[in-house]
Amino acid sequence: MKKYFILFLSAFIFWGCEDFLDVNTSLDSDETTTPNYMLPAVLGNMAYAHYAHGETTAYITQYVTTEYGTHAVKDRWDYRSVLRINAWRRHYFDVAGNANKMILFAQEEGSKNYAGVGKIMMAFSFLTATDLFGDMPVLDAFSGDYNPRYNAQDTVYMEVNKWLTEGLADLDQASAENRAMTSNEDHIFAGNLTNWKSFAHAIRARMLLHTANFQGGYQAVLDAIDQARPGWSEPLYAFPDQAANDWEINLWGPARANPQWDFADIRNMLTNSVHTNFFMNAMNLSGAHDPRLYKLTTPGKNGNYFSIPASAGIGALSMDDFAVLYNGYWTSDNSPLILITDEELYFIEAEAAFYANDRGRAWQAYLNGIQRNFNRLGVPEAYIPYSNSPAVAQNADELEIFDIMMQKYIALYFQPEVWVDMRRYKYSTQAYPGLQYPENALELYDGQWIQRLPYDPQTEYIYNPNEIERLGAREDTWVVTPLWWVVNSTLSN
Amino acid sequence: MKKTLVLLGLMLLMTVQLLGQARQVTGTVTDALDGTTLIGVTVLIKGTTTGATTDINGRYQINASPADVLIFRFVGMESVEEQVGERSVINVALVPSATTLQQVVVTALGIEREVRTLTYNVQNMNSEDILSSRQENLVNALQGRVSGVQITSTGGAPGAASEIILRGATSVDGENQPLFVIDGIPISNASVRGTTNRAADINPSDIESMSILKGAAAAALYGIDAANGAIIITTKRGKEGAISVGLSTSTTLSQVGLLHQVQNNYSTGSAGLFNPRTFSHWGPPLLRSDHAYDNLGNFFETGMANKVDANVSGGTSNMTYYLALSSLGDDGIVPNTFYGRNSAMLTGTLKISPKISLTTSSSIMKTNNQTGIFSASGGWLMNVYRWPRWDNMVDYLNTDGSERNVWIPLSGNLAEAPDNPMWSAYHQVRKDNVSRNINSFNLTYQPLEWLTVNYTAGRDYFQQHYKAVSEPGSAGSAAYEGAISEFDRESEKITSTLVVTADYDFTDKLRVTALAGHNLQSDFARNTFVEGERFRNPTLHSINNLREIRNSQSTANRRIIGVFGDLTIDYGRFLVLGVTGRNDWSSTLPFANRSFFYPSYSAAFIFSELLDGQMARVFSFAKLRASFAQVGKDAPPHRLTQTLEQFYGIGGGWKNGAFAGNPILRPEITKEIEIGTDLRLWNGLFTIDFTYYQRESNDQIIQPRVTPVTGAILQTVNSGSVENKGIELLFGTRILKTEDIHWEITLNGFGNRSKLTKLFGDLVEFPVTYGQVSSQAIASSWLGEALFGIVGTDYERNDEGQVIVNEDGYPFIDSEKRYIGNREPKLYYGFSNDFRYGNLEFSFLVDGAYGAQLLNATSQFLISSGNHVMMEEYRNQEFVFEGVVEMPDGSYAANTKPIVMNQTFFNNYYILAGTNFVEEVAWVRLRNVSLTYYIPRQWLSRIRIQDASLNVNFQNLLLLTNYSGGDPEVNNAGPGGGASGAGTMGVDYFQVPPRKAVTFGLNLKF
Repeated sequence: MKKYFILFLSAFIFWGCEDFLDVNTSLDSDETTTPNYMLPAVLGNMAYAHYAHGETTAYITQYVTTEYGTHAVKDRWDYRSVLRINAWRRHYFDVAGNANKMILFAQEEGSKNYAGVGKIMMAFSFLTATDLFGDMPVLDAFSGDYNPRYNAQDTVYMEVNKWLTEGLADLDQASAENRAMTSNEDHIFAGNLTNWKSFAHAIRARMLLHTANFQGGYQAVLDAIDQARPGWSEPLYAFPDQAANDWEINLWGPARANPQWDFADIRNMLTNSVHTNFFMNAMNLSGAHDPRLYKLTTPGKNGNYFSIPASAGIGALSMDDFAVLYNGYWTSDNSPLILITDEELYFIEAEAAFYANDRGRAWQAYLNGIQRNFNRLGVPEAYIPYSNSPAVAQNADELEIFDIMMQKYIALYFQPEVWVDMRRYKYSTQAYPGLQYPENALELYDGQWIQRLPYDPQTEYIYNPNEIERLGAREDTWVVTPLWWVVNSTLSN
Repeated sequence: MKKTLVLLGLMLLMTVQLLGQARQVTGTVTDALDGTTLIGVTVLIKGTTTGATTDINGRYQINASPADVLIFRFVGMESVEEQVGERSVINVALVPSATTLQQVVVTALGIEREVRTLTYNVQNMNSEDILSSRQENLVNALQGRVSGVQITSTGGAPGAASEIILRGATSVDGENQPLFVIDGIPISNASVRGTTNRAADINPSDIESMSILKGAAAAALYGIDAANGAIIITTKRGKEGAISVGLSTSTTLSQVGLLHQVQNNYSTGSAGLFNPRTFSHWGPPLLRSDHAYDNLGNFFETGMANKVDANVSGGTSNMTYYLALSSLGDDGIVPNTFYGRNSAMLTGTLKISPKISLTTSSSIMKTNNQTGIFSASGGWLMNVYRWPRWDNMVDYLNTDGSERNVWIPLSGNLAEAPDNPMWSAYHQVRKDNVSRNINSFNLTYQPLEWLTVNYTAGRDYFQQHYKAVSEPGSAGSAAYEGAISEFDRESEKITSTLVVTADYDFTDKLRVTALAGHNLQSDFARNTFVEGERFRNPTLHSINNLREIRNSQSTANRRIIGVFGDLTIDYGRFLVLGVTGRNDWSSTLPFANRSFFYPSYSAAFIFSELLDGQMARVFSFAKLRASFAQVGKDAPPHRLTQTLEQFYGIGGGWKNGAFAGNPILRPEITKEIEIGTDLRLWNGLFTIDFTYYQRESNDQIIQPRVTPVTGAILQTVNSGSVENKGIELLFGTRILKTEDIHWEITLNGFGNRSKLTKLFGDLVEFPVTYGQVSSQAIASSWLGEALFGIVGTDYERNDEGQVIVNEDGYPFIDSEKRYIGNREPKLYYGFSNDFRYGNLEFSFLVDGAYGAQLLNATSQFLISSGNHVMMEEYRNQEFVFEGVVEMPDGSYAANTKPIVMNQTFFNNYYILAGTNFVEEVAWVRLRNVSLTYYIPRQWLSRIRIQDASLNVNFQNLLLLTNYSGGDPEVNNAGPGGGASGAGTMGVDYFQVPPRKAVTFGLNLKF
């Protein structure tokens, strides 16, 4: 054996060097694949990202606040010593990065269906990310540039619009010869391209609504809604009743799933959270509770529904007197994550019609939104009494903007889009009656509301410092600096 | 000269002819100066590998023929040659070497060189020093004894990994540990997932000597993997003569070393209010009626380790053999932790003909390490320190055997209840088993007296099986129903080295040694990971029992071809010049860049040869040396393209891998200049070895994070430069040397200064990406500063450096992170003392360091949870923060507003300033005290024992330090956390501190 070994090795000494060294190709992973194997990661990661956005914004939008009122980020908006801003990497690496690859693979083989879906997801991920961060790289993204230029937010919006247009065009050209897309690959629409097209129009409606007030585009919003509605089905990411592992558990659930290390900093804190006065007032029907409250939460030990001002801490109160936030419609281990809900579509329509002076349409869409939410939460019988109560505008003339925004607020429980709404209205009490500035927010903000998330300190501040410098994002007040569509917003103040 | 050659040749022939006539020769070797006997003198039959050494009484015995010439060699003495003739007793008196140093050390490629001719610093450690440290991880045996090394162990748990760095870290990001070589073949020292560094598989008892090649010049011939230096291990060999049997046993008792202190006054809760569901001790004062348990003290046990070593050796003039068997079992100070190692080694040398000899060595090791589950970021003791003081932590089970929860979470979800550390120790067990086989063979052919052809082939192969089980009931949504994480690793390193050496004396004054060689290396590692959750049957610890399983596999292949040459010219015994060159072809680099050449040049000037008179008496030996060397380094395998990874969520499939590819990587080059001097004064009364080095690594192959905007998390690039410079000093003196008393002192010192001079792109900071535990201060490298940096926050300060305080009296925090500390000590020193009186030997080793700035993250977490001992004194006390308040006109006035040091102050202000947790420390450690008694031979002869000795040895007996956190030897993630770049040396995060131990040993030789 050993003699053979010597011969074998000696042989290498005299010939065959190049073959001997040809071992640098990975044996365990490939560089390319077909787009069907990329789509699950794009959709799954978008679902996790959607949760993560909601987990961050639910405290800002005052659905909930923490038990002690001392949480640096959630109560004090103190991002000065935060290690990670998870949403940044989740967008670029986990969702858009994979969507980008999927589009390339799809284009190579001519699968228009996958290319179109990829572009729509690209648009959705960029839109939701820029609404958190504002300016961000879009033109230099995925170009191999280590120091990508940050683009102004209007540029990001233009690119999002472009992806939507291209995605829709691709889907129009999709044919039966394309690679099959079934429920195995497409966990949201099981390959139904009509649904995908509607989703694209809904994304556009949402985006246009953000700028309609200063770009005069309410009719365009309504047009997009009209295009979305015929083939509409909710973009719903479902979780199984029997999860096989943490990846298959809704992160809002009581299991507080932690599938992998990078989820550690976005695990839900609902155990240590309670409802705010602001939310509970919206649930208050002259002393009684909005019946939806019992579907959003489960009763606490003492059956009470206490609430506290945002960031105040429960002090000497007992957690037993608050609702348990788990196992509600949105907060069970198997709750769905819905990227754009039916209700949102109705309330976009209501708001756009309201400002387009089509009060009748606005009121009808408003009622549709409310009713859809009662149905969703499993209390359809309660809708009629509720709609006749003073909580609801009784006719088109009575309808005020706060009616629309507060009903949207309730219907979009924990949805990140609500933070966009609040900022568009500059946290105005005209739109959000009773909204109060959290008493424990950092003093250095001087009473200014939080407007954006800082970029990921683990990456951007270290690896792209010049752009951070240029934007002024190093300032402690960066997070209270308004985004482009807030600066320009003409909505009530 | 030629006559000598002919004579030598003749003698060789005669040796062969007279082989049958060998008989026993005995004698005593003494020091010619004072007549004391010399122990450990090598007695060698010239032209053979047959030899013996002198015993405790200076006596030797050897089988020799009348034609044989015996060579007597000893450190610091002139060698003596004696023709055997008809004598059966040959007594020899050795004279201290005045003009030469005949001591031989092993250098690169196993080349033996006289110390005299060395052109660079090599430090040698012999078997006795290694064994007297009583460290089973051989890396730890170097602590305090070798200058130029930094060793930090991850703690006092059995099987804890240790990290070793020679002459400072050169790589911002990559491997910084030296190459380990055993009997000419490189072996793996990898540490995977926090398991021990694999050099610890080697039984220290099997080691004859270790040479530490610290610089690039010494290591240039080993190529790529020796860019960070090399540790050359030579194992024990059999000697010609009667069969010899050695047996030694030892028992070690150990205790936990210095811990952080915790407060004893307050209960759990927040803002002074009691809450039974938190580790936070900001609750009300404990009442006298409350029982405050010493959970920290009760957690540890007395550790006990037993070791047995046995060896059989002997041989004839044509063959020798050495067989060693060893068994070690070490029960740790943390409950249910264990480290065991069984090993066997067999080495044989066969003289096939006068010109050809063959040595083969084979060792088998099986190690078995059991620990509780812990994260790669240290943190073993986190919950032990923070456990509610009103709860008796060691009482951790319910009567039905399930985990007793310290509290029921509000959600009612028991998976949310934290795990008791005792539960983790017994029911979240991590086992790491390694079965390793190291084989080597070496063929030496000497066709001519001056020409040698040497071929070495070797294989280091191990299989590692790692299994971590969280039994049902453990905390976490998945682990609550049971979880298993397993990996199997197969690692193989094959090397083949052919070296042709010509060593020729052209004249009496000119000796030329030329060497040419060829080297092949193949590294292969395959890891198969399996993990999953949710047991079906509660007690079956098998992946078959899991409802959900995930697999992955990774394979790494790397191959290198190298050719090299070395030319040494030794002129007139006072000038030595050396040149080496090596070209490597590495598989990990792109085709166009895979071949690279790097040279070294060195010189030594032995000026004592030119002295006479008084000066010659003072400078018995004096040498100046200088060298310049380069070493190339390749990339990690499979980094040229971005690949896809598995997506584990619904639907599966692929997603982007974290690494962006880089198809244009180039080799990185380290350059080093070393100058030094080696002085032996007054016939060896004082020995001084001083070295200065300066080293620069450019074009580093680093794997920085990049912005995810690129679609990747990490990128492999050529960028970044690091400079290191430092001094190494070794000073020895023979204080007393009489017939009965022998007393030697050795002092070593080492200081290194590192600087990160260039980084990738716009980067000003290169954080250590693993083992980060605090948001306010992390292990990180900052451009223009020391590599082992700490980067973090500070209070906001005005231009005068005064802390700015707000109108309520609280300090402002400047959240912008900056360089706030250097974890590398300014100076390491070691002081060893060897004393012998008659049959008694006594030695001790003191070592220490000063000037290191540690990141005490443990303290930060203890403060944030109200558990820090300072709460006893300071909590709720009023004080005025030393700082200034900004006035409306922009001026500053001293702060006078008192504040209360309560939870708000500590958590919202104090802990946010990272600088509060950077401590500059100094320490002195009595690392080792050893006392050995050699039982007189006359007592032993009757019971047929040749030698016997008893030994008692104390380790880590005493530690003096200004560090607030107990033992300052900290490294939270260790080499297993990634072992790359500046690492986590000097980061304290709830690790188990080094142990204190006492060992009782018995050595027998039959």
